[in-house]
Amino acid sequence: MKRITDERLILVNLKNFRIAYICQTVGLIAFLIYVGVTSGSRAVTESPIFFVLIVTNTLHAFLQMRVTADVEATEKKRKKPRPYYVFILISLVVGVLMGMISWFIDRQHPSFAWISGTIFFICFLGSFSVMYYLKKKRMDDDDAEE
Amino acid sequence: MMNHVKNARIEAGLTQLQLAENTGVTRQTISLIEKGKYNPTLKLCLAICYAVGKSLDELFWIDEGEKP
Repeated sequence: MKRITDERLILVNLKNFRIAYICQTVGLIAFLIYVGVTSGSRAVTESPIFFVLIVTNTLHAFLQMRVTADVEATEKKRKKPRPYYVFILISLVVGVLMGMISWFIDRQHPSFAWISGTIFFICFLGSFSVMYYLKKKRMDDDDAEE
Repeated sequence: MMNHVKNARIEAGLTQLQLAENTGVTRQTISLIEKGKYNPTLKLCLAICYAVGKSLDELFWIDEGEKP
């Protein structure tokens, strides 16, 4: 297949990918709903398609952060991002809370509480860190411009 | 957006296909640009200017308030 160099066709290609992505996502969700109705909710979460859907959406959310950072940087101009330790504290609070909830639900397996708390802590800290890095980078770029 | 690409291309003695080959796009894209149905990037605008030997002003400038 010949490599496309025409900028207009590259845009058309991207739009085609978007349509295909939407179609695929709708198809996967419809399939999972069907599995949920016929085999129960446990079968849905055990399905590899569910995993693919979650990973894709997480990846999309992370990629989308760059857009959000740009929009926020324009709207809230010159507002300094919160210090990094605040994000660590928030993530820690969420992790502890989720760990405690897991422990209250299933007291026989305290290791599950530790695992879920740690996962929540890492996930929150990861996304906060990416957002913090992007905002800081935008601030540095703005400073360099002035 | 309206432009003067068509006139400049004819003045330069080029066909749509030749201009497309010189600028690295398809003939359809040149056709759409000439009809004002596709807005090229600045990079492509410059490539067209180099190919027909005109400046950006001459090909793409529109006065404020003029219909784009």
